[in-house]
Amino acid sequence: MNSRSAMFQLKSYEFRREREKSWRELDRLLVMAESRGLQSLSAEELARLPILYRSALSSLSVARAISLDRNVLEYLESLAERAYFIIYGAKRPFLTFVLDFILYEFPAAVRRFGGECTLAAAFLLLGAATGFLLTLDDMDRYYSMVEASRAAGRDPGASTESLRNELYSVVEHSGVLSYFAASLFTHNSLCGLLAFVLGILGGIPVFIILFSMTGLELGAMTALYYDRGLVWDWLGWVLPHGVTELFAITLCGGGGLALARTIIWPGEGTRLANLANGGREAGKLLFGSLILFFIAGMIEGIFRQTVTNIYIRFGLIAGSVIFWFVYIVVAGGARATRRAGGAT
Amino acid sequence: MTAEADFLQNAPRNAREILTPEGVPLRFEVASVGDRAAAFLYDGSILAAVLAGITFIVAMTASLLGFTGSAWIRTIWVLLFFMIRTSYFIYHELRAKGSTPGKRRVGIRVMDQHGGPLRTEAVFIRNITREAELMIPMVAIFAPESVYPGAPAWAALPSAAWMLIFSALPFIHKSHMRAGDLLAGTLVVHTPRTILYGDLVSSRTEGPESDATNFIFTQQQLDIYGIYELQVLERVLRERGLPNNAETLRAIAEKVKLKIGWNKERWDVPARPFLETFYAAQRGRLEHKLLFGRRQERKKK
Repeated sequence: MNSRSAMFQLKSYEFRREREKSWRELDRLLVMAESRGLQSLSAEELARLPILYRSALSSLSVARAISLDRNVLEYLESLAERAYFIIYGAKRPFLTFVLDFILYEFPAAVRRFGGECTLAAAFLLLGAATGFLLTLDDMDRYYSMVEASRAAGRDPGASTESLRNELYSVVEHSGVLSYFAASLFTHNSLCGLLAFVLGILGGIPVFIILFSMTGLELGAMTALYYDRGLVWDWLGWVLPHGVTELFAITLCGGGGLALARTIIWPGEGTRLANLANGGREAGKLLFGSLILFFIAGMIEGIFRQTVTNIYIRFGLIAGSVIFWFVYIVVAGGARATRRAGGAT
Repeated sequence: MTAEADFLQNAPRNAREILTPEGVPLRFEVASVGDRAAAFLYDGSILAAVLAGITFIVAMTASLLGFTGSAWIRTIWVLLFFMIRTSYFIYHELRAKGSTPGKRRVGIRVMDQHGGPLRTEAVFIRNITREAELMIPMVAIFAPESVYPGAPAWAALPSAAWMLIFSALPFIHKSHMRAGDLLAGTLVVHTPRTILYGDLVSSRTEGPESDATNFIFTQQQLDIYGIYELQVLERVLRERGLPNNAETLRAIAEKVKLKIGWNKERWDVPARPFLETFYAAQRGRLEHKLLFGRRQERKKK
């Protein structure tokens, strides 16, 4: 074969000559989009992008079939990948997503996983009831159910007067209690996070966390205050933020159980694929519960230290319960029927 | 691309083939654990600097306004800390479509594992579970009994071990997915950047064809080598200017001449023009066979 004529016989060379210009154009647009964002492209350039991307993909397919020039093959692959990233990035702007999430996605997710959340709540209540009854029966069991650091002096050894005072202390004692609030926020959100993530390992870790880490402790402390005749004061102290917080933990547990379900009963897909799908849906529960933990922390930090009137406290408890109930049951419902109606 | 062709890279590629919505498969190179750790360290230091700055500002404001020692400040600081830590990654991954400053520096990014668009829920879930992945091993190492409080003593150690495995998932998993990636269905890959060089077939020195540079190969001679050898030759020819390139070319030229049975009377030829011509002819021959569906990967023995 003659050396010069070889050049003209190579189809891959011809192919490249035809298409190289559009590759270079795509490269130029991608460099602009990558360095300064899509908004730096003009309207015509934006309209060119998908066309050039698809033609790059087609060039890649052809090159894979007829060309042995490794540089061209690698280049086209990387060009297509870069264009792919620019075109298929995350879509919705942040604020729209947040509003959408709060008003629609989150309540819908809670409703969808209603069964799992109810089961998680049952675990929690079972733990609380068990802790309550066992501690009432033998006050010494308190020490094995409540860690000393979290009890912070509120144990059977303390006097009734000191227990009562702590429930109604105001700003002077806020030093200890506010920091306690902050650590409570992270401790209980750790419980919640663990309950969710360990859902991968099946339902049992979730059960253990809800039952023992949260439930028993709650039950034991309630028993202590009940024993001293302070149960309503105790409930008035813990429930204003407790309603929100326990709700959040229940959601985390429900999410964890949902994850367990995707693995144990995968349905059609493979277990891992199912886990990924279920994870994204159940993850909404987790994210929403983080917001709830934050709200609970705020109530705890601000409200609890300043308001000591027991009627106001119970008012807030009732208000929280009603609010969350209405929010979950009602929010986004109208849009759901509108979407369904629009689809048909 | 064949497995052999991958040897041409300096290190074996951990590639994952993803089907784009257009139906063309793209081979993305999965990021190694080291790359991800480096990106995370980089992001972590930026985050630490931001948090340190905020702590400083909060402390200064507090002392100026006379709030020192107030637990309010501490509460606000703890909550702020948590929020910023969580939202740093989420914000960047949403805004920059899957990359953070640290990831950009290392050259990796997040994508959906099935080639679809990177969903916002996925970004949230993969970042929130990072808290669990970091906290669990720390808690398990330093205080295994508090991971499952109230569990019998014999359960504490295996459960701690199990959770350490859980956090070591990136090392075990083939595509280095961590738990957050599994739950979100995401993958972390390298962002490729290849430069398009000229076609070797056309870049040979122009000039009058003389007997000295006019090399002709028979079809039998061109049927010996395969695609792998062709692409190795391509790489060496492109490395013009690198040290030892001339010697490498000479060595290769000798081997080629021996293998194909080059005319002994014209044995002494300049290496580069010879190999450039051989490359063009060889590629033409192999591509011709490719069009008929005959793909010869390696040389005949």
